[in-house]
Amino acid sequence: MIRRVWREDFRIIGYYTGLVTIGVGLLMLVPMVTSLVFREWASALDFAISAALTLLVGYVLVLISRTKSTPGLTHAMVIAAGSWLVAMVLSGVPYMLSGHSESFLDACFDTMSGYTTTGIFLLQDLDHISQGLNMWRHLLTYVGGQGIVVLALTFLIGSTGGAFKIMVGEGKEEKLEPNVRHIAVLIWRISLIYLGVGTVALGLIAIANGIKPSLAFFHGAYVFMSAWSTGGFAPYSQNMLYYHSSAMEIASMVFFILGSFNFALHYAIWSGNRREILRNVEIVSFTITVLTTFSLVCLALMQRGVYPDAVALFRRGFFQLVSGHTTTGQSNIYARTFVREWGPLGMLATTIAMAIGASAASTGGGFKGLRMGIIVKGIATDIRKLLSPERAVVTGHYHHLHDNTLTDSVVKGAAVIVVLYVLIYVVGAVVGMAYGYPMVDAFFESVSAGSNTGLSCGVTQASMPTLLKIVYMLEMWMGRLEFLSVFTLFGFIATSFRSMRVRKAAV
Amino acid sequence: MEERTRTKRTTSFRRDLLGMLTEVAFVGSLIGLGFLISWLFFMGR
Repeated sequence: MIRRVWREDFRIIGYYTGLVTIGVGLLMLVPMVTSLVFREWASALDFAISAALTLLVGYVLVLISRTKSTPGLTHAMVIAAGSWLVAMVLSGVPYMLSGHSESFLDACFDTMSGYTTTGIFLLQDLDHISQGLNMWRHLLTYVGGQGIVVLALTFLIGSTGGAFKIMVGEGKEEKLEPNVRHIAVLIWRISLIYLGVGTVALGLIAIANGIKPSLAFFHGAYVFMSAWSTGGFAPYSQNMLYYHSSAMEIASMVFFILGSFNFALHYAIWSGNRREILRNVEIVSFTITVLTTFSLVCLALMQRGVYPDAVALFRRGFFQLVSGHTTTGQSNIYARTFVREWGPLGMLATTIAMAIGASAASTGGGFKGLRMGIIVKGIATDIRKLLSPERAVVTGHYHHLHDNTLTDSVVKGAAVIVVLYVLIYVVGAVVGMAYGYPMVDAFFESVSAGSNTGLSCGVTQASMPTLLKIVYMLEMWMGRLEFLSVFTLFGFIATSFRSMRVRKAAV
Repeated sequence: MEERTRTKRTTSFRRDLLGMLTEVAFVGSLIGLGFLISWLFFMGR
Protein backbone atom coordinates (compact mmCIF):
# COMPACT_ATOMS: atom_id res chain seq x y z
CA MET A 1 0.00 0.00 0.00
CA ILE A 2 1.22 3.53 -0.80
CA ARG A 3 1.34 5.81 2.26
CA ARG A 4 2.80 8.77 0.39
CA VAL A 5 2.78 9.48 -3.31
CA TRP A 6 6.12 10.27 -4.95
CA ARG A 7 6.93 11.62 -8.40
CA GLU A 8 8.08 8.13 -9.46
CA ASP A 9 4.58 6.77 -8.72
CA PHE A 10 3.06 9.30 -11.12
CA ARG A 11 5.74 8.41 -13.70
CA ILE A 12 4.92 4.71 -13.60
CA ILE A 13 1.19 5.37 -13.86
CA GLY A 14 1.64 8.00 -16.59
CA TYR A 15 3.97 5.81 -18.64
CA TYR A 16 1.70 2.74 -18.74
CA THR A 17 -1.47 4.81 -19.17
CA GLY A 18 0.29 6.55 -22.08
CA LEU A 19 1.02 3.18 -23.71
CA VAL A 20 -2.62 2.13 -23.38
CA THR A 21 -3.65 5.51 -24.85
CA ILE A 22 -1.35 4.97 -27.85
CA GLY A 23 -3.05 1.59 -28.32
CA VAL A 24 -6.45 3.33 -28.41
CA GLY A 25 -5.11 5.87 -30.94
CA LEU A 26 -3.84 3.10 -33.22
CA LEU A 27 -7.18 1.34 -32.92
CA MET A 28 -8.90 4.44 -34.36
CA LEU A 29 -7.16 3.76 -37.65
CA VAL A 30 -9.46 0.75 -38.23
CA PRO A 31 -12.71 2.82 -38.42
CA MET A 32 -10.80 5.44 -40.43
CA VAL A 33 -9.93 2.83 -43.07
CA THR A 34 -13.53 1.54 -42.96
CA SER A 35 -14.77 5.08 -43.68
CA LEU A 36 -12.31 5.40 -46.56
CA VAL A 37 -13.49 2.07 -48.02
CA PHE A 38 -17.10 3.31 -47.93
CA ARG A 39 -16.03 6.79 -49.22
CA GLU A 40 -17.28 8.54 -46.09
CA TRP A 41 -14.78 11.39 -46.26
CA ALA A 42 -16.20 13.44 -43.36
CA SER A 43 -16.19 10.43 -41.07
CA ALA A 44 -12.65 9.48 -42.14
CA LEU A 45 -11.53 13.02 -41.24
CA ASP A 46 -13.25 12.73 -37.83
CA PHE A 47 -11.25 9.59 -37.09
CA ALA A 48 -8.00 11.09 -38.44
CA ILE A 49 -8.40 14.07 -36.06
CA SER A 50 -9.34 11.82 -33.13
CA ALA A 51 -6.47 9.39 -33.77
CA ALA A 52 -3.97 12.25 -34.04
CA LEU A 53 -5.22 13.75 -30.76
CA THR A 54 -5.19 10.40 -28.94
CA LEU A 55 -1.72 9.46 -30.20
CA LEU A 56 -0.45 12.91 -29.20
CA VAL A 57 -1.85 12.58 -25.67
CA GLY A 58 -0.42 9.06 -25.35
CA TYR A 59 2.97 10.06 -26.74
CA VAL A 60 3.23 13.10 -24.44
CA LEU A 61 2.30 10.93 -21.43
CA VAL A 62 4.96 8.36 -22.34
CA LEU A 63 7.54 11.06 -23.03
CA ILE A 64 7.10 13.02 -19.80
CA SER A 65 6.85 9.94 -17.60
CA ARG A 66 9.43 7.63 -19.20
CA THR A 67 10.59 5.15 -16.53
CA LYS A 68 12.15 1.73 -16.21
CA SER A 69 10.45 0.91 -12.89
CA THR A 70 7.94 -1.92 -12.88
CA PRO A 71 4.49 -1.21 -11.50
CA GLY A 72 3.56 -2.51 -8.05
CA LEU A 73 0.06 -3.74 -7.23
CA THR A 74 -1.25 -0.24 -6.34
CA HIS A 75 0.18 1.26 -9.56
CA ALA A 76 -1.31 -1.60 -11.57
CA MET A 77 -4.77 -1.05 -10.12
CA VAL A 78 -4.59 2.73 -10.73
CA ILE A 79 -3.31 2.17 -14.30
CA ALA A 80 -6.17 -0.24 -15.05
CA ALA A 81 -8.91 2.05 -13.68
CA GLY A 82 -7.30 5.27 -15.01
CA SER A 83 -6.67 3.86 -18.50
CA TRP A 84 -10.35 3.06 -18.88
CA LEU A 85 -11.27 6.65 -17.98
CA VAL A 86 -8.71 8.19 -20.36
CA ALA A 87 -9.78 5.78 -23.14
CA MET A 88 -13.44 6.64 -22.51
CA VAL A 89 -12.85 10.39 -22.89
CA LEU A 90 -10.62 10.20 -25.99
CA SER A 91 -12.76 7.57 -27.70
CA GLY A 92 -15.73 9.92 -27.34
CA VAL A 93 -14.14 12.50 -29.66
CA PRO A 94 -15.23 10.79 -32.94
CA TYR A 95 -18.75 10.46 -31.53
CA MET A 96 -18.83 14.19 -30.80
CA LEU A 97 -17.34 15.14 -34.19
CA SER A 98 -19.94 12.98 -35.98
CA GLY A 99 -22.72 15.22 -34.64
CA HIS A 100 -24.73 12.20 -33.48
CA SER A 101 -24.17 12.84 -29.76
CA GLU A 102 -26.14 15.60 -28.07
CA SER A 103 -23.33 16.38 -25.61
CA PHE A 104 -19.83 15.21 -24.74
CA LEU A 105 -21.29 13.50 -21.67
CA ASP A 106 -23.54 11.45 -23.97
CA ALA A 107 -20.52 10.58 -26.12
CA CYS A 108 -18.60 9.44 -23.02
CA PHE A 109 -21.67 7.47 -21.85
CA ASP A 110 -21.65 5.58 -25.15
CA THR A 111 -17.91 4.88 -25.09
CA MET A 112 -18.08 3.75 -21.46
CA SER A 113 -20.98 1.50 -22.45
CA GLY A 114 -18.90 0.19 -25.38
CA TYR A 115 -15.67 -0.50 -23.50
CA THR A 116 -17.48 -2.10 -20.58
CA THR A 117 -19.48 -4.26 -23.05
CA THR A 118 -22.74 -2.91 -21.66
CA GLY A 119 -24.65 -1.89 -24.76
CA ILE A 120 -27.03 0.88 -23.67
CA PHE A 121 -26.55 4.01 -25.77
CA LEU A 122 -27.61 7.64 -26.15
CA LEU A 123 -26.46 8.09 -29.77
CA GLN A 124 -29.00 9.92 -31.92
CA ASP A 125 -30.27 8.69 -35.30
CA LEU A 126 -28.33 5.42 -35.10
CA ASP A 127 -29.82 4.20 -38.39
CA HIS A 128 -27.98 6.92 -40.32
CA ILE A 129 -24.51 6.90 -38.79
CA SER A 130 -21.45 6.21 -40.96
CA GLN A 131 -20.00 2.71 -41.38
CA GLY A 132 -16.83 4.06 -39.79
CA LEU A 133 -18.66 5.06 -36.60
CA ASN A 134 -20.52 1.75 -36.61
CA MET A 135 -17.19 -0.06 -36.86
CA TRP A 136 -15.84 2.08 -34.01
CA ARG A 137 -18.79 1.25 -31.74
CA HIS A 138 -18.40 -2.47 -32.30
CA LEU A 139 -14.62 -2.38 -32.12
CA LEU A 140 -14.81 -0.62 -28.75
CA THR A 141 -17.01 -3.36 -27.40
CA TYR A 142 -14.83 -6.13 -28.91
CA VAL A 143 -11.62 -4.67 -27.49
CA GLY A 144 -13.33 -3.83 -24.18
CA GLY A 145 -14.43 -7.45 -23.88
CA GLN A 146 -10.88 -8.78 -24.11
CA GLY A 147 -9.66 -5.82 -21.99
CA ILE A 148 -7.91 -2.74 -23.34
CA VAL A 149 -4.97 -3.42 -21.05
CA VAL A 150 -4.73 -6.92 -22.53
CA LEU A 151 -4.54 -5.26 -25.95
CA ALA A 152 -1.73 -2.97 -24.87
CA LEU A 153 0.07 -5.83 -23.14
CA THR A 154 0.00 -7.90 -26.32
CA PHE A 155 1.37 -5.30 -28.66
CA LEU A 156 2.98 -2.44 -26.77
CA ILE A 157 4.30 -3.28 -23.34
CA GLY A 158 7.77 -4.84 -23.72
CA SER A 159 8.52 -5.63 -20.09
CA THR A 160 6.07 -8.08 -18.58
CA GLY A 161 7.14 -7.46 -14.98
CA GLY A 162 4.13 -6.22 -13.06
CA ALA A 163 1.96 -6.58 -16.16
CA PHE A 164 -0.07 -9.45 -14.69
CA LYS A 165 -1.06 -7.14 -11.85
CA ILE A 166 -2.49 -4.67 -14.38
CA MET A 167 -4.53 -7.47 -15.92
CA VAL A 168 -5.85 -8.39 -12.47
CA GLY A 169 -6.88 -4.75 -12.08
CA GLU A 170 -8.90 -5.17 -15.27
CA GLY A 171 -10.72 -8.21 -13.90
CA LYS A 172 -8.72 -10.90 -15.74
CA GLU A 173 -7.27 -12.67 -12.74
CA GLU A 174 -6.84 -16.18 -14.19
CA LYS A 175 -3.18 -17.07 -14.64
CA LEU A 176 -3.32 -19.49 -17.58
CA GLU A 177 0.39 -19.34 -18.37
CA PRO A 178 3.44 -18.17 -16.41
CA ASN A 179 4.18 -15.42 -18.95
CA VAL A 180 1.60 -12.64 -18.94
CA ARG A 181 2.16 -11.81 -22.59
CA HIS A 182 1.38 -15.44 -23.45
CA ILE A 183 -1.92 -15.07 -21.57
CA ALA A 184 -2.76 -11.93 -23.56
CA VAL A 185 -1.79 -13.61 -26.85
CA LEU A 186 -3.84 -16.67 -25.89
CA ILE A 187 -6.94 -14.58 -25.16
CA TRP A 188 -6.54 -12.84 -28.52
CA ARG A 189 -5.89 -16.09 -30.39
CA ILE A 190 -9.15 -17.65 -29.17
CA SER A 191 -11.07 -14.41 -29.84
CA LEU A 192 -9.63 -13.93 -33.33
CA ILE A 193 -10.29 -17.53 -34.42
CA TYR A 194 -13.91 -17.15 -33.29
CA LEU A 195 -14.03 -13.71 -35.01
CA GLY A 196 -13.15 -15.35 -38.34
CA VAL A 197 -15.63 -18.21 -37.92
CA GLY A 198 -18.38 -15.92 -36.58
CA THR A 199 -18.02 -13.24 -39.26
CA VAL A 200 -18.26 -15.82 -42.06
CA ALA A 201 -21.22 -17.66 -40.46
CA LEU A 202 -23.21 -14.50 -39.66
CA GLY A 203 -22.23 -12.88 -42.99
CA LEU A 204 -23.59 -15.88 -44.93
CA ILE A 205 -26.83 -15.74 -42.92
CA ALA A 206 -27.05 -11.98 -43.69
CA ILE A 207 -26.63 -12.72 -47.43
CA ALA A 208 -29.34 -15.38 -47.20
CA ASN A 209 -31.54 -12.70 -45.60
CA GLY A 210 -31.09 -10.40 -48.59
CA ILE A 211 -28.35 -8.06 -47.39
CA LYS A 212 -25.88 -7.03 -50.14
CA PRO A 213 -22.74 -9.21 -50.01
CA SER A 214 -20.53 -6.08 -49.81
CA LEU A 215 -22.30 -5.13 -46.57
CA ALA A 216 -23.25 -8.59 -45.27
CA PHE A 217 -19.82 -9.46 -43.90
CA PHE A 218 -19.60 -6.09 -42.15
CA HIS A 219 -22.95 -6.93 -40.50
CA GLY A 220 -21.55 -10.37 -39.70
CA ALA A 221 -18.49 -8.80 -38.06
CA TYR A 222 -20.57 -6.22 -36.14
CA VAL A 223 -23.04 -8.78 -34.78
CA PHE A 224 -20.22 -11.19 -33.93
CA MET A 225 -18.16 -8.54 -32.11
CA SER A 226 -21.26 -7.48 -30.19
CA ALA A 227 -22.17 -11.08 -29.32
CA TRP A 228 -18.73 -12.48 -28.49
CA SER A 229 -17.83 -9.53 -26.29
CA THR A 230 -21.30 -9.78 -24.67
CA GLY A 231 -21.69 -6.14 -25.70
CA GLY A 232 -25.17 -5.80 -27.14
CA PHE A 233 -24.69 -3.12 -29.78
CA ALA A 234 -26.12 -3.68 -33.28
CA PRO A 235 -25.77 -1.61 -36.46
CA TYR A 236 -29.40 -0.44 -36.37
CA SER A 237 -31.65 0.98 -33.68
CA GLN A 238 -33.96 -2.04 -33.75
CA ASN A 239 -31.03 -4.20 -32.69
CA MET A 240 -31.53 -7.90 -33.64
CA LEU A 241 -35.17 -7.23 -34.48
CA TYR A 242 -33.89 -5.51 -37.65
CA TYR A 243 -32.88 -8.84 -39.21
CA HIS A 244 -36.17 -10.71 -38.57
CA SER A 245 -34.14 -13.88 -38.78
CA SER A 246 -34.25 -16.79 -36.36
CA ALA A 247 -31.01 -18.17 -37.90
CA MET A 248 -29.23 -14.90 -37.14
CA GLU A 249 -30.63 -14.91 -33.58
CA ILE A 250 -29.60 -18.51 -32.87
CA ALA A 251 -26.10 -18.02 -34.35
CA SER A 252 -25.68 -14.84 -32.32
CA MET A 253 -26.95 -16.65 -29.20
CA VAL A 254 -24.32 -19.38 -29.68
CA PHE A 255 -21.59 -16.73 -29.87
CA PHE A 256 -22.71 -14.73 -26.88
CA ILE A 257 -23.00 -17.84 -24.71
CA LEU A 258 -19.48 -18.80 -25.81
CA GLY A 259 -18.29 -15.25 -25.13
CA SER A 260 -19.63 -15.46 -21.60
CA PHE A 261 -17.32 -18.40 -20.78
CA ASN A 262 -14.17 -17.95 -18.71
CA PHE A 263 -11.05 -17.62 -20.91
CA ALA A 264 -9.40 -20.20 -18.65
CA LEU A 265 -12.20 -22.63 -19.52
CA HIS A 266 -11.74 -21.99 -23.27
CA TYR A 267 -8.03 -22.59 -22.77
CA ALA A 268 -8.59 -25.85 -20.86
CA ILE A 269 -11.03 -27.17 -23.49
CA TRP A 270 -8.85 -26.08 -26.40
CA SER A 271 -5.86 -27.75 -24.71
CA GLY A 272 -7.65 -31.10 -24.76
CA ASN A 273 -9.34 -31.11 -21.34
CA ARG A 274 -12.79 -31.33 -22.92
CA ARG A 275 -14.58 -32.87 -19.93
CA GLU A 276 -14.00 -29.62 -18.03
CA ILE A 277 -17.09 -28.14 -19.70
CA LEU A 278 -19.32 -30.58 -17.83
CA ARG A 279 -17.56 -30.33 -14.46
CA ASN A 280 -16.69 -26.65 -14.12
CA VAL A 281 -18.53 -24.96 -11.25
CA GLU A 282 -19.23 -21.86 -13.37
CA ILE A 283 -20.84 -23.84 -16.17
CA VAL A 284 -22.90 -25.92 -13.74
CA SER A 285 -24.02 -22.73 -11.96
CA PHE A 286 -24.76 -20.98 -15.30
CA THR A 287 -26.83 -23.93 -16.61
CA ILE A 288 -28.89 -24.16 -13.42
CA THR A 289 -29.59 -20.42 -13.17
CA VAL A 290 -30.39 -20.07 -16.92
CA LEU A 291 -32.91 -22.92 -16.79
CA THR A 292 -34.44 -21.70 -13.50
CA THR A 293 -34.83 -18.07 -14.53
CA PHE A 294 -36.10 -19.10 -17.98
CA SER A 295 -38.77 -21.24 -16.30
CA LEU A 296 -39.84 -18.13 -14.38
CA VAL A 297 -39.96 -16.13 -17.63
CA CYS A 298 -42.07 -18.88 -19.24
CA LEU A 299 -44.42 -18.82 -16.26
CA ALA A 300 -44.79 -15.03 -16.53
CA LEU A 301 -45.32 -15.03 -20.29
CA MET A 302 -47.76 -17.97 -20.19
CA GLN A 303 -49.81 -16.28 -17.45
CA ARG A 304 -50.13 -13.18 -19.60
CA GLY A 305 -50.61 -15.13 -22.86
CA VAL A 306 -47.99 -13.03 -24.64
CA TYR A 307 -46.85 -15.53 -27.27
CA PRO A 308 -49.12 -17.83 -29.29
CA ASP A 309 -46.88 -20.93 -29.46
CA ALA A 310 -43.77 -22.62 -28.05
CA VAL A 311 -41.58 -21.45 -30.95
CA ALA A 312 -42.43 -17.76 -30.37
CA LEU A 313 -42.00 -18.19 -26.60
CA PHE A 314 -38.58 -19.78 -27.13
CA ARG A 315 -37.47 -17.33 -29.82
CA ARG A 316 -38.28 -14.18 -27.83
CA GLY A 317 -38.19 -15.43 -24.24
CA PHE A 318 -35.08 -17.62 -24.31
CA PHE A 319 -33.11 -15.19 -26.49
CA GLN A 320 -33.88 -12.26 -24.19
CA LEU A 321 -33.25 -14.21 -20.99
CA VAL A 322 -29.93 -15.66 -22.16
CA SER A 323 -28.95 -12.28 -23.61
CA GLY A 324 -29.55 -10.86 -20.10
CA HIS A 325 -27.86 -13.74 -18.26
CA THR A 326 -24.71 -13.60 -20.37
CA THR A 327 -24.84 -9.78 -19.90
CA THR A 328 -24.98 -9.30 -23.67
CA GLY A 329 -28.01 -7.09 -24.11
CA GLN A 330 -28.85 -7.91 -27.72
CA SER A 331 -32.59 -7.66 -28.12
CA ASN A 332 -35.22 -9.08 -30.47
CA ILE A 333 -38.12 -7.24 -28.80
CA TYR A 334 -38.73 -3.50 -28.31
CA ALA A 335 -37.54 -1.95 -25.02
CA ARG A 336 -41.04 -1.11 -23.76
CA THR A 337 -42.22 -4.68 -24.47
CA PHE A 338 -40.66 -5.63 -21.14
CA VAL A 339 -42.99 -3.26 -19.31
CA ARG A 340 -46.08 -3.61 -21.49
CA GLU A 341 -46.05 -7.37 -22.17
CA TRP A 342 -43.57 -9.22 -19.96
CA GLY A 343 -44.83 -7.64 -16.73
CA PRO A 344 -43.19 -7.58 -13.26
CA LEU A 345 -42.46 -11.34 -12.95
CA GLY A 346 -40.86 -11.56 -16.41
CA MET A 347 -38.81 -8.45 -15.70
CA LEU A 348 -37.82 -9.71 -12.24
CA ALA A 349 -36.58 -13.04 -13.65
CA THR A 350 -34.55 -11.18 -16.30
CA THR A 351 -33.21 -8.80 -13.64
CA ILE A 352 -32.04 -11.75 -11.50
CA ALA A 353 -30.38 -13.32 -14.55
CA MET A 354 -28.60 -10.04 -15.40
CA ALA A 355 -27.49 -9.58 -11.78
CA ILE A 356 -25.87 -13.06 -11.71
CA GLY A 357 -24.26 -12.56 -15.10
CA ALA A 358 -21.53 -14.44 -16.90
CA SER A 359 -18.29 -16.19 -15.94
CA ALA A 360 -15.25 -14.70 -14.20
CA ALA A 361 -12.36 -13.63 -16.48
CA SER A 362 -14.76 -13.53 -19.44
CA THR A 363 -16.08 -10.67 -21.52
CA GLY A 364 -19.23 -10.53 -19.37
CA GLY A 365 -20.26 -8.80 -16.16
CA GLY A 366 -22.47 -9.39 -13.10
CA PHE A 367 -21.68 -11.34 -9.90
CA LYS A 368 -20.22 -14.14 -12.07
CA GLY A 369 -21.09 -17.84 -11.99
CA LEU A 370 -17.90 -18.70 -10.12
CA ARG A 371 -18.90 -16.55 -7.14
CA MET A 372 -22.46 -17.88 -7.19
CA GLY A 373 -21.10 -21.44 -7.23
CA ILE A 374 -18.66 -20.72 -4.38
CA ILE A 375 -21.31 -19.05 -2.21
CA VAL A 376 -23.87 -21.83 -2.77
CA LYS A 377 -21.22 -24.49 -2.05
CA GLY A 378 -20.17 -22.49 1.06
CA ILE A 379 -23.76 -22.47 2.36
CA ALA A 380 -24.10 -26.21 1.63
CA THR A 381 -20.83 -26.93 3.48
CA ASP A 382 -22.00 -24.91 6.50
CA ILE A 383 -25.28 -26.86 6.59
CA ARG A 384 -23.32 -30.13 6.38
CA LYS A 385 -21.14 -28.96 9.27
CA LEU A 386 -24.23 -28.24 11.38
CA LEU A 387 -25.68 -31.68 10.66
CA SER A 388 -22.39 -33.54 11.33
CA PRO A 389 -21.08 -34.65 14.73
CA GLU A 390 -19.07 -31.92 16.46
CA ARG A 391 -15.72 -33.69 16.04
CA ALA A 392 -16.22 -34.40 12.33
CA VAL A 393 -14.02 -32.45 9.90
CA VAL A 394 -16.21 -31.19 7.04
CA THR A 395 -14.56 -29.49 4.08
CA GLY A 396 -16.21 -28.24 0.93
CA HIS A 397 -14.79 -28.53 -2.59
CA TYR A 398 -15.54 -26.98 -5.95
CA HIS A 399 -14.24 -27.80 -9.38
CA HIS A 400 -12.80 -24.96 -11.41
CA LEU A 401 -10.07 -26.25 -13.76
CA HIS A 402 -9.03 -28.57 -10.91
CA ASP A 403 -10.50 -29.57 -7.55
CA ASN A 404 -10.24 -26.69 -5.07
CA THR A 405 -10.82 -26.70 -1.34
CA LEU A 406 -13.44 -24.27 -0.17
CA THR A 407 -11.87 -22.11 2.51
CA ASP A 408 -13.59 -19.41 4.54
CA SER A 409 -11.46 -16.73 2.88
CA VAL A 410 -12.55 -17.86 -0.62
CA VAL A 411 -16.22 -17.71 0.38
CA LYS A 412 -15.70 -14.34 2.10
CA GLY A 413 -13.90 -12.90 -0.94
CA ALA A 414 -16.75 -13.96 -3.24
CA ALA A 415 -19.41 -12.65 -0.82
CA VAL A 416 -17.74 -9.22 -0.51
CA ILE A 417 -17.76 -8.67 -4.28
CA VAL A 418 -21.38 -9.84 -4.53
CA VAL A 419 -22.38 -7.39 -1.76
CA LEU A 420 -20.62 -4.56 -3.63
CA TYR A 421 -22.51 -5.43 -6.82
CA VAL A 422 -25.81 -5.43 -4.91
CA LEU A 423 -24.86 -2.04 -3.46
CA ILE A 424 -24.32 -0.41 -6.87
CA TYR A 425 -27.50 -2.02 -8.23
CA VAL A 426 -29.46 -0.54 -5.30
CA VAL A 427 -27.84 2.92 -5.52
CA GLY A 428 -28.64 3.15 -9.27
CA ALA A 429 -32.21 2.00 -8.66
CA VAL A 430 -32.75 4.47 -5.80
CA VAL A 431 -31.51 7.39 -7.96
CA GLY A 432 -33.84 6.20 -10.75
CA MET A 433 -36.78 6.03 -8.35
CA ALA A 434 -35.91 9.50 -7.00
CA TYR A 435 -36.41 10.80 -10.54
CA GLY A 436 -39.85 9.19 -10.64
CA TYR A 437 -39.26 5.96 -12.52
CA PRO A 438 -41.29 2.96 -11.27
CA MET A 439 -39.38 0.61 -8.95
CA VAL A 440 -39.33 -2.39 -11.33
CA ASP A 441 -38.09 -0.23 -14.25
CA ALA A 442 -35.48 1.52 -12.07
CA PHE A 443 -34.08 -1.80 -10.78
CA PHE A 444 -34.13 -3.39 -14.24
CA GLU A 445 -32.16 -0.52 -15.80
CA SER A 446 -29.76 -0.13 -12.87
CA VAL A 447 -28.92 -3.86 -12.78
CA SER A 448 -28.54 -3.78 -16.56
CA ALA A 449 -25.95 -0.97 -16.28
CA GLY A 450 -24.13 -2.36 -13.22
CA SER A 451 -23.88 -5.87 -14.62
CA ASN A 452 -22.78 -4.51 -18.02
CA THR A 453 -25.76 -6.11 -19.75
CA GLY A 454 -27.39 -3.35 -21.78
CA LEU A 455 -31.00 -4.53 -21.97
CA SER A 456 -33.25 -1.52 -21.55
CA CYS A 457 -36.88 -1.14 -20.57
CA GLY A 458 -36.90 2.42 -21.90
CA VAL A 459 -35.27 4.44 -19.10
CA THR A 460 -31.97 5.07 -20.94
CA GLN A 461 -32.55 7.94 -23.36
CA ALA A 462 -30.69 11.14 -24.25
CA SER A 463 -33.39 13.05 -22.37
CA MET A 464 -32.85 11.21 -19.06
CA PRO A 465 -31.53 13.23 -16.08
CA THR A 466 -27.80 14.04 -16.18
CA LEU A 467 -27.18 12.65 -12.68
CA LEU A 468 -28.72 9.31 -13.69
CA LYS A 469 -26.41 9.19 -16.73
CA ILE A 470 -23.39 9.74 -14.46
CA VAL A 471 -24.59 7.11 -11.96
CA TYR A 472 -25.05 4.55 -14.76
CA MET A 473 -21.58 5.40 -16.12
CA LEU A 474 -20.05 4.81 -12.67
CA GLU A 475 -22.00 1.56 -12.35
CA MET A 476 -20.71 0.36 -15.74
CA TRP A 477 -17.12 1.29 -14.89
CA MET A 478 -17.11 -0.22 -11.40
CA GLY A 479 -19.03 -3.32 -12.48
CA ARG A 480 -16.62 -4.05 -15.31
CA LEU A 481 -13.45 -3.58 -13.26
CA GLU A 482 -14.94 -5.37 -10.25
CA PHE A 483 -14.43 -2.48 -7.81
CA LEU A 484 -10.93 -3.06 -6.45
CA SER A 485 -9.01 -1.05 -9.06
CA VAL A 486 -11.60 1.76 -8.92
CA PHE A 487 -11.36 1.95 -5.12
CA THR A 488 -7.56 1.93 -5.39
CA LEU A 489 -7.73 4.84 -7.87
CA PHE A 490 -9.91 6.82 -5.43
CA GLY A 491 -7.50 5.98 -2.59
CA PHE A 492 -4.51 7.00 -4.72
CA ILE A 493 -6.11 10.37 -5.54
CA ALA A 494 -6.87 11.00 -1.85
CA THR A 495 -3.30 10.02 -0.85
CA SER A 496 -1.89 12.34 -3.55
CA PHE A 497 -3.79 15.32 -2.10
CA ARG A 498 -2.66 14.39 1.42
CA SER A 499 0.98 14.11 0.29
CA MET A 500 0.71 17.52 -1.40
CA ARG A 501 -0.63 19.07 1.81
CA VAL A 502 2.17 17.45 3.86
CA ARG A 503 4.81 18.80 1.43
CA LYS A 504 3.28 22.31 1.47
CA ALA A 505 3.23 22.28 5.28
CA ALA A 506 6.91 21.20 5.34
CA VAL A 507 7.84 24.11 3.01
CA MET B 1 12.51 -30.88 -38.62
CA GLU B 2 9.94 -29.59 -41.16
CA GLU B 3 7.95 -32.80 -40.82
CA ARG B 4 7.86 -32.34 -37.02
CA THR B 5 6.68 -28.72 -37.36
CA ARG B 6 3.94 -29.79 -39.77
CA THR B 7 2.78 -32.57 -37.42
CA LYS B 8 2.78 -30.12 -34.50
CA ARG B 9 0.70 -27.63 -36.51
CA THR B 10 -1.80 -30.34 -37.56
CA THR B 11 -2.15 -31.50 -33.96
CA SER B 12 -2.69 -27.93 -32.78
CA PHE B 13 -5.30 -27.33 -35.51
CA ARG B 14 -7.11 -30.57 -34.63
CA ARG B 15 -7.07 -29.64 -30.94
CA ASP B 16 -8.48 -26.15 -31.66
CA LEU B 17 -11.18 -27.60 -33.90
CA LEU B 18 -12.19 -30.26 -31.36
CA GLY B 19 -12.20 -27.65 -28.60
CA MET B 20 -14.44 -25.37 -30.64
CA LEU B 21 -16.79 -28.23 -31.58
CA THR B 22 -17.05 -29.31 -27.92
CA GLU B 23 -18.02 -25.80 -26.89
CA VAL B 24 -20.54 -25.38 -29.72
CA ALA B 25 -22.07 -28.81 -28.96
CA PHE B 26 -22.52 -27.84 -25.30
CA VAL B 27 -24.11 -24.50 -26.19
CA GLY B 28 -26.34 -26.26 -28.74
CA SER B 29 -27.55 -28.66 -26.03
CA LEU B 30 -28.30 -25.76 -23.68
CA ILE B 31 -30.34 -24.03 -26.40
CA GLY B 32 -32.12 -27.35 -27.02
CA LEU B 33 -32.99 -27.58 -23.31
CA GLY B 34 -34.38 -24.04 -23.53
CA PHE B 35 -36.65 -25.09 -26.39
CA LEU B 36 -37.72 -28.18 -24.44
CA ILE B 37 -38.78 -26.01 -21.47
CA SER B 38 -40.82 -23.70 -23.76
CA TRP B 39 -42.49 -26.72 -25.34
CA LEU B 40 -43.22 -28.32 -21.95
CA PHE B 41 -44.86 -25.09 -20.70
CA PHE B 42 -47.12 -25.04 -23.75
CA MET B 43 -47.93 -28.73 -23.41
CA GLY B 44 -48.79 -28.33 -19.73
CA ARG B 45 -51.03 -25.30 -20.32
